[in-house]
Amino acid sequence: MKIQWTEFRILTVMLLLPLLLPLLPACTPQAEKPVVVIYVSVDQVYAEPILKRFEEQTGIRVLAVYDVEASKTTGLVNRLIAEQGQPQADVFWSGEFVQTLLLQQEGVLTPYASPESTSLPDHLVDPNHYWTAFGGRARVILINTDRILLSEAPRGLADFLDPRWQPERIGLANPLFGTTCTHAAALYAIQGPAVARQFFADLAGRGVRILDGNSVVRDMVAAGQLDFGLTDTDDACGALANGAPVAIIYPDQDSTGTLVIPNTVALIAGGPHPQEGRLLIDYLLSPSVEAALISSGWFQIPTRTEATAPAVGTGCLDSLPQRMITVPLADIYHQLEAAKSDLTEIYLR
Amino acid sequence: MLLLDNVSKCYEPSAARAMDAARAVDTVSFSLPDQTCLVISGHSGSGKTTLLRLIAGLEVPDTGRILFNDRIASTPGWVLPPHQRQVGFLFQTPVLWPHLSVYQNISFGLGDWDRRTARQRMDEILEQTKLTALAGRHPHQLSGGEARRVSLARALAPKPACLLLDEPLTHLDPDLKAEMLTLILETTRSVGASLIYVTHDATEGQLVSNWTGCMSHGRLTLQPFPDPRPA
Amino acid sequence: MPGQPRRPGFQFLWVLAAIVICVGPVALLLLAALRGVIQHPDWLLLVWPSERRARLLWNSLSLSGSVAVVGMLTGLPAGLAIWRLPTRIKRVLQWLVLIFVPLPPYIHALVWLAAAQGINTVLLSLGLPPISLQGWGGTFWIQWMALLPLAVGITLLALQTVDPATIEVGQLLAPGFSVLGRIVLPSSAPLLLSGTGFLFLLTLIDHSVPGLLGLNTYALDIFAEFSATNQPARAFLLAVPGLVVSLLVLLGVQSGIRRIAQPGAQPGAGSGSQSGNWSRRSILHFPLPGWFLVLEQLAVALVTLQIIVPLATLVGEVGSVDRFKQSLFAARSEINYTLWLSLAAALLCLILGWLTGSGLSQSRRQSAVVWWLVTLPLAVPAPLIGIALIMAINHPPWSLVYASAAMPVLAAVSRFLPFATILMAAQINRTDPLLLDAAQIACANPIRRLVKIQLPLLAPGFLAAAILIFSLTLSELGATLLVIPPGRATLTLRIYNYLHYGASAEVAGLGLMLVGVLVLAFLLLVLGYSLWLRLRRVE
Repeated sequence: MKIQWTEFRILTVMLLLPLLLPLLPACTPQAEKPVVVIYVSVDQVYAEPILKRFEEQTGIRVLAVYDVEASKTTGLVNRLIAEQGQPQADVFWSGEFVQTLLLQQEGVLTPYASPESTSLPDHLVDPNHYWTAFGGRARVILINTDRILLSEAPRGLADFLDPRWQPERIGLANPLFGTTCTHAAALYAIQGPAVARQFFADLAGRGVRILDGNSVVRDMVAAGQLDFGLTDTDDACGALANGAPVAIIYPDQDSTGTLVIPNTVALIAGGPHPQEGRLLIDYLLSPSVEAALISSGWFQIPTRTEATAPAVGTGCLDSLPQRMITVPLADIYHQLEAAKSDLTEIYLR
Repeated sequence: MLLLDNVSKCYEPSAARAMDAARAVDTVSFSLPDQTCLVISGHSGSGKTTLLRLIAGLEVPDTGRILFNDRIASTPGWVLPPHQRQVGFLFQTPVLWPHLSVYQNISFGLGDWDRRTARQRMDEILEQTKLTALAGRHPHQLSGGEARRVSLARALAPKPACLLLDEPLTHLDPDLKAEMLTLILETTRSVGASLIYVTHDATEGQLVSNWTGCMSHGRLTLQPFPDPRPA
Repeated sequence: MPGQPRRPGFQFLWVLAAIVICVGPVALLLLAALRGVIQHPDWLLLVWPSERRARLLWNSLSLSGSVAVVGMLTGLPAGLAIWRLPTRIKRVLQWLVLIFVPLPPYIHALVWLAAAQGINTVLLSLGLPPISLQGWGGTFWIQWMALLPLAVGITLLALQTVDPATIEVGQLLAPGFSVLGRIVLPSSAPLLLSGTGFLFLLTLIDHSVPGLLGLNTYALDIFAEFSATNQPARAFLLAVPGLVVSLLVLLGVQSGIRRIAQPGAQPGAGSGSQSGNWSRRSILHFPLPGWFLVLEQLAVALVTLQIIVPLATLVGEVGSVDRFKQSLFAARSEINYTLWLSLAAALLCLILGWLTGSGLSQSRRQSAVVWWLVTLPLAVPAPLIGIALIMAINHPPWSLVYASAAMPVLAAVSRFLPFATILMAAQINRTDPLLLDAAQIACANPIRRLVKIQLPLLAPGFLAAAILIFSLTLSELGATLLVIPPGRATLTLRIYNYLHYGASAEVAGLGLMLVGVLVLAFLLLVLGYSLWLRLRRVE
């Protein structure tokens, strides 16, 4: 059916309308309210209330973009790198640190020394102030107490290879992504690549179950489909809060210690609202936000001791890990590529 | 013999020509003896095509019965499948299957025949309709006249007892019309089939048969049967 | 005719625009990959799969091939069963089958995992071994269930392209099963084969379900690479083997599409009336062998299962009406934005698809390359399209567009325009051009011609394209995440966020909302169309 010239012109006009309509807000005079844009790789459920409170307190409107688990943390980080020539975001808030260090390496970040960072431990602040870390989620072993007695529970990662446990009843999230990948890189940094590689090869050889995420590990341990698994404290605390028959074990308290993965926040280079971005970073690093995030259950390990921030508590945990891994975050980050390369060979086949 | 007994058919109000819920075919009754030709004329929308489709088993009557040789073929709510009625149908357009060759189109209805007999029949019908040289072609390689001959050959190949033609010569030039008409009558006679021929053209109808009927608003008015022998 | 002014080839301008929209993102990625290779020549090795990657590629191809073939083999009898129903029932059923098309595969996976858990409880209590949905088998089952509605929809579309007159002639000469096998299926084969190709492509580029069920696939490897290096160029190079396969499948798909989307019969030959698409004559129920009827019933039962299980599981997970209302209220801004976004994408795709489809259906001389280019986005993973859009638009003078709410609309159009083009070209081809010529003669007012003649004639294609694009946009995630403006979120994004959080009740509520939105959109479109027809007293 031929379209005549007249119909063509009519249709062209009709075609432009749906395109023009959404542009109208951009053409109107800028709203008087100041704005800050933040890209957030933290669960929206936890981050949104914090950001709303910032809006109420400061009158600065927060425009947030949240990452999703299914994108395996590639979403927002790749967006930030792709937008580097014309950044849209002012602040990046992540639930871990490796992607933040990657952004630093790519030149996406700009230094900002927040006044709030002076009350934080030195190892959580980048020497050049490109990023600041706060709060923490520990990597823990979650056991099903209907299946395992606490006295007989596994105490470290080496127990994942112990023949007394059936491998099909042990689980961990895919070590190619997320905090499990970070944990793998930490093992590479502590034990050396050869030993760490062998550990994961042995895990794969045993047939330990690899699952789609920490929340899946949590759910399966809580349901009794697994005896124990490796997950984060926020997921573990979620199971406890739901009344599941589970208990949390801090792994390797007698040896290397437990890995605690902090949140990180950073200022984006060339962001459209740098002043508002700095204010938001100050707010996120404040003790009150740390306390709020602990009480909401996002992270469980406080950054500040009682001496520096009496309001901060330990949330769902009865106690904190006595021994934590003290390898610098940058060292863990530098092992990431080697770890991912080895793990891809081992697990993606 | 074909017998229609008080056959009616209604279409829904939202049908093709936006009719009210009128009857497309309204209490039609007649019998068609073997080897006779009946010409039905009428204006557009009078129900001629619907009548043919009811006889062919492509529509279900709302009332009445249709019998073939005293065997019930259609009642309200039930129809004998079309391929079991031994009817051939020529539509207004050729309606050839584009993915089948001329030979395959024509031999489609001979699936139940034994191979040898089917081959002999095919040779016969191709010869009669002058399609032997075109047997290997596909529909898009045929002219309009050739396509019509193929559809005629396909309808007659299984030697139907009754041939239904729905304005088969529409849009043909006079020479081709005459040629097709001669072919239709010859081949129909050769298989000994009865013929119901629907047309607008009174002259054309007279060439086919002198037993005529007229459809108007779904009702069929038949002239008395002119002669004991078929036309 | 002497004195007739010559018009420029303006129709092909829109074909060109469609090619730019469809091929542009891929071209940008290719350029980035070439730049990367020049700087790092060893990257070129990524194009040739290693032994490990070859195994993963085989995993992906075998899974995709199996899902596609089995999907169409089950969709076909189910579609046939619906097609042979009386027209009124058919019109409702054929759209109801499609209501779960927008449900993301990841949600299908979670639904079936929950269902399997329930089944296993029963099996264990009976002392029977539990069923496991992990690995190849589970992934196959879930992808099959997720794509089954699409397979049925494609079958119905394919069967509608068969001229009823050719079926009737066949019925006069042979039993129903013979007509089915020798007339109906060969006539609809091009589109059925194209549909199989589409199912193959959709399975090939999905990594979410295999990831959830522990099956390592090539798509997951690409994602792992992307995650490890954050280099789209490397990910694109790694995707090349899969892309080559996808492009070969597309070649096969588009040859079938061209057959239905370009002018067919020459005068005097070929298959019957071109106005057959307006015939309301229902296909007379022809008797089929008993074993085939059983097969149809089994297929229909499977289709019913894949509607009932997700629906029941989602409703069960929601728990109560109050919780459902709460999750809806909390997501109201996402619901509003998603509705607007899906409507805008559907409208844009319809118009562009009409213009492009019109240009492509004009002549037999349109080359295969043009069709291939227009359908190219179907082979590209969504996140790569998102990255490419950022590369294309996030710099002056387009920054205004990039910062606007239109970006996800553009992402949806980039991904789904091929579907609209195919459907509109097919509809245009099925419509008698003489009908428009007659309107040209009778009516000088172009708007009146458009409203009273063209739109009603093209309405079936419009409806099909509108519902399909609306559904696909509703559930789009990979590209949307990368281009959505700050401060906005879609319903699908919210669902995925809650999935990770483990709020299964909220996820179930929002999943039901997705389905509800589609059913509502379908009802509004179909009822509005029926009302309009009734007012106009058109068939």
